[in-house]
Amino acid sequence: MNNYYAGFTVSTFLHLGLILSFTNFYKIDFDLFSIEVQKTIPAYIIYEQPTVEKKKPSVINIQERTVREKDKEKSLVDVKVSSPKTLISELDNIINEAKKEDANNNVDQVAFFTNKIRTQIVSKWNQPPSAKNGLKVELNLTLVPTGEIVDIQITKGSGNEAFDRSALLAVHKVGRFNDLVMPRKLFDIYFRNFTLIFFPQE
Amino acid sequence: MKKFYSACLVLLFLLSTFSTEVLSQLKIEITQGTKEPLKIAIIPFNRALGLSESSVLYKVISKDLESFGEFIVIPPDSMLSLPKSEDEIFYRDWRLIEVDYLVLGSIQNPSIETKDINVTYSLFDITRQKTLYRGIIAGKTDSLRILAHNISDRIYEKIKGISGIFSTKILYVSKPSFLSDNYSLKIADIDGFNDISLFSSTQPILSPDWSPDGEQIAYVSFEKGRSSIFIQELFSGKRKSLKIQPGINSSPSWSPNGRYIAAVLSKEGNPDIFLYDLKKDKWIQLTDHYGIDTEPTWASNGKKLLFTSNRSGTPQLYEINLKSKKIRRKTFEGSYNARGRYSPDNKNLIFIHRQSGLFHVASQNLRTGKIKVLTETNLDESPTVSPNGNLVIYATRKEDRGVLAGITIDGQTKFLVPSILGEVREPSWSPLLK
Repeated sequence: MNNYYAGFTVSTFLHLGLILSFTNFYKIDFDLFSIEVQKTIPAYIIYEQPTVEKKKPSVINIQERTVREKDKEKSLVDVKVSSPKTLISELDNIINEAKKEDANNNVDQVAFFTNKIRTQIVSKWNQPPSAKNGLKVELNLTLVPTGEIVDIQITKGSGNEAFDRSALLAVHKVGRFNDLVMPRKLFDIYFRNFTLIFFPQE
Repeated sequence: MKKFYSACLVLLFLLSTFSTEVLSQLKIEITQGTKEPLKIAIIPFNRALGLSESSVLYKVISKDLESFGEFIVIPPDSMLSLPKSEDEIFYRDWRLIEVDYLVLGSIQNPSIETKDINVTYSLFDITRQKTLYRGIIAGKTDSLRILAHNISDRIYEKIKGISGIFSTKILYVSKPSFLSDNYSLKIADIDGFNDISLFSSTQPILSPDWSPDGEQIAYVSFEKGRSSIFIQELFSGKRKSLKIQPGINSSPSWSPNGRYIAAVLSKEGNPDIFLYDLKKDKWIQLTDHYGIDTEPTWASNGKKLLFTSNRSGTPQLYEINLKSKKIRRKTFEGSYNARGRYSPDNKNLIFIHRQSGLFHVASQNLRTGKIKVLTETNLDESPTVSPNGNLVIYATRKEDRGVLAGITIDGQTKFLVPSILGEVREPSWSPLLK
């Protein structure tokens, strides 16, 4: 019997650990350990700066990056003469910096696109006269990357039919959010599915 | 073993909370909207039976919906199609011209001799491509305005979620001109049409008020040479005076349950608030103060009365709780706040507020105490609130003439009550009428 419990305990903890790691409980960024990330840097930077001319080879992008880096610490000459090894560590630095920047950027970007969504809804929401009385309705929206709204669900109604309808109508009228051009990852995490809370304030 | 299981349970619980946190969604709060009017298309009612009345219906409904700036009725010539029935509605056509709602109706005239007509109508939500409401209403060809107002009310209620007030009436006192002594108490539709005189006198008539069922009115008349309060049945015209007391008898206000009339008497020298019990035919004293207490009005729950008093030195609004008889001052901003009314939800006060020497209609939020001045005109008087709480009509002066003007409670849209001629004062908005 004792043996059975020991096995069960070990398996429970192993599984728990596994499930936790799936839910990213340990907050491990696996990309950091991946060698392949280095290969994808140029693309990553191009994606960050979509306005950069595509004709330029990706390497130039990296150099632009290092030039900026140099302003802080090293001279451009240093980079030029550095051995491939130092260049790689240099790249590592850049990647890490970019990652950090990205994490900060994420908050900014989410706020930026949230604002875009908000202004588009506000311009279409015709509040009914009953809207003053502290009513609240929650809608769940599903979007596709073009910004088109493909599904709307009322998740928490206000109890006032006209008020709920006014919120639904606002979303229907928008139909498709403009200017939601963003990295796919950002879209998937935050904007593929989100909640709108209509909550009038005077 | 139990410990082990509970530990497992705790872990599972933790796990579930963590996973929901990971999966938690972006939430965007929308706290503001647009005040843009909604666009509504009304297909001119069919004239299958050659009724010119159909255009009356169309015109009255359009005018009703447009009167307070909440709707734009799009003209028929900008419509891409004129559907005759539901299956002929192509939602895309209407979305293209950015219409929000569509009304389609038809008139059946079962018998021309009896003047009976039936109007069927449907309201469509273009954005969601749904039928919102189907209605049928019967009436006579000579009461088309009433039919139209009824249809407007239903449309308004379905879209806005509060009662429409197009079938309500307004009671007011008018004179042919400022210097004339021919006072008459009149009643008219809210758009100013169908005015009927209820009572005329060469002596002043003041402060008309409605009974809660809308079948009787109370007012002050000086026909006996001194002020006395009368009540009058609207349909029979029968009138009687409340027991007259020495001194002032003024400002009647009917209680929401219909049993009492609050009024001002000065039988003990200075004006105080009294209740008249209509069942027992007797007066009950409510306030007793050496200052002037006047202009009582009821909260819609019948538990409180609002009145104006100068007990603090300047006219301010006070509230008396009928049960505890406790009196509380309600307004503190400015040196003149009078003629107060509760909004139907008892959350706001509407009153006359003096600001830099000018008299405006203002509202005060009872929770925050914040005052909002609604009108820009001067010499505004006697505000009266619509039964749905969305509008205020008040007396003011325009081009040296007493007129009735109105404003939405958010202060956004102003309007004049049209078609009422002469010198008009003392408006009183009816309850919702059946």
